[in-house]
Amino acid sequence: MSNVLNIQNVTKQFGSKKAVNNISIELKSGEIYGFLGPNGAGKTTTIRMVMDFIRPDVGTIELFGANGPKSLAAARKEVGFLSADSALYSDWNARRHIKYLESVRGVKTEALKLAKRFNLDLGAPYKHLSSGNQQKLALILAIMHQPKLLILDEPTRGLDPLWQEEIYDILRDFRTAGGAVFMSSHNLSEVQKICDHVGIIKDGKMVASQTMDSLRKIHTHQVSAEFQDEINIAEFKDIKHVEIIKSSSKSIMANVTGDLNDFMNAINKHKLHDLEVTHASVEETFLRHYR
Amino acid sequence: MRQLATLISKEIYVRRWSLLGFTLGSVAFLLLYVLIYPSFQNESAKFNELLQSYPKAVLKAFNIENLQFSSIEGYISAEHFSFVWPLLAIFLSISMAGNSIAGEIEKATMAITLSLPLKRGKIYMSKALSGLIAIGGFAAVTTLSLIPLSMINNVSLNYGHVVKISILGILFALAIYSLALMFSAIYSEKSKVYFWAGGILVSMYVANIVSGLVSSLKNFQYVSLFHYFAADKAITQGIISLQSVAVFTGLSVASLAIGYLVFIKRDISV
Repeated sequence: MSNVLNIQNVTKQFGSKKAVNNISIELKSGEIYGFLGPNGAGKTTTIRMVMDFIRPDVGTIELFGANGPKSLAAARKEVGFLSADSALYSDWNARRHIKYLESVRGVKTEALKLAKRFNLDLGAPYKHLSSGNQQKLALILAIMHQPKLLILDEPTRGLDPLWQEEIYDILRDFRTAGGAVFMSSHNLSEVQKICDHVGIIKDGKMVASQTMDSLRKIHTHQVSAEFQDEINIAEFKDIKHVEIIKSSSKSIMANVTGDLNDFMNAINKHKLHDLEVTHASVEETFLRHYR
Repeated sequence: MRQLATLISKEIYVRRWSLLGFTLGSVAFLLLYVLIYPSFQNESAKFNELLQSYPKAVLKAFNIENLQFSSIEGYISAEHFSFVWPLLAIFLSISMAGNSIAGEIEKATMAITLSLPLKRGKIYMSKALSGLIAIGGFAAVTTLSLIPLSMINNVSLNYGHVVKISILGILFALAIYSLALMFSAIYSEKSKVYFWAGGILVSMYVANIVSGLVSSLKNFQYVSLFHYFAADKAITQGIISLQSVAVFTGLSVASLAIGYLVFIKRDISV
């Protein structure tokens, strides 16, 4: 299957700072790619280059096999875009925004159906909408023409958990229909929930890139156990993929990568006073694995 | 073509209130002058005498050397087309151009249009054409409306001369819009557009005045757009120099071309 998005060895420099440094990403139809990283890591710069708002200094970006400003413009027919700083025309209502985009794209869209699903007031000026409703409108504008690729910069920002779940459902449906999604996010749990592939960018460089299936194999749990009796810490040290962080004669705290069962069996040999098992975040898991 | 038409109508729709405000304001000025002209005309001999007492250089500096208050054309030229109208045209042109590109980048609304399947060149064309239509329309309406206003108020007027001032006004306003749009394509903040376009025009205005007052700086007049905007000659004598047409047209074409080249190549961080 050919890539809908192909970023190859792309570098972008602002002054002396390399905002994006030699990154490569590939995305196929039917995939959701989660792009993670702290603020200023280069996520938005990458997305701007994909949208051809800014141009890479080095490397190539292909959308549906097309590259170069002219071809990318045509390829954007099949792209839906949501900006992190999405600002629409403050005096326009949703209906006018929809009409404008339909008119430029030359298509009749599903916008009204989506607005109903999102319970969005089509007549209120954008400036009078709550931030959640503003985000809903921006999202409708991105998906209403049924694109093949969605490029979303923090799509659930400003939405309450119920609406976030609604967006996840929409993205899952979109993937099932063969669409591809490239999304950045600060929300690690949403990436875990819906993405097939995760990339981490830090200081402009790709720190890691993994499928979610591979991620599950390296997924880390943090286990804290307090025992009623004294334990021999040596019996935990030999267990594979266990990194002991802290221990005392009656307690242990460890990171366990992958299968938990061997470690839990060792714990079960003792009488417990307390036990806590937490998931390490995707970012922590990645960073631990690749450091 | 459909896309271009949509983009142009959107641009004009977004700027409709400022366009309407400036146009109505300018027409209101004209109405005012037409209404008070009959009573002013009775005293015109005194005003002409007063005008003659000014040094020629001063009159030339303010482009009113050919003024005659005994005709409505001369009166309107002195009261309106020598100062108020150019000022309104400049404010509207710079404001529209500044908002058109730099303003949209500043507010991040440019991302909506850039994310659509449109070439940068087409986006720029829509910004340029919408401005040219809007500013050209403003200039045409606010000059040609003198004809119906004078008819309604039974004031006799040379319509041919009004058409001439209209042509000159349109060319002048379009040159300023094009210059400001070039800066708007270069910068991402409106304030920088206002600074450069406004700064250049103020410098030109000063250059025009100084060239009339100081004989050794006479040639400074040629670098000023205000020298070529000889409204008094156009409305009182029906004359537009070829030099004026060439300068305004040349500046418009050159500015639009530079703006186009910059806009299609630049990074736009929205």
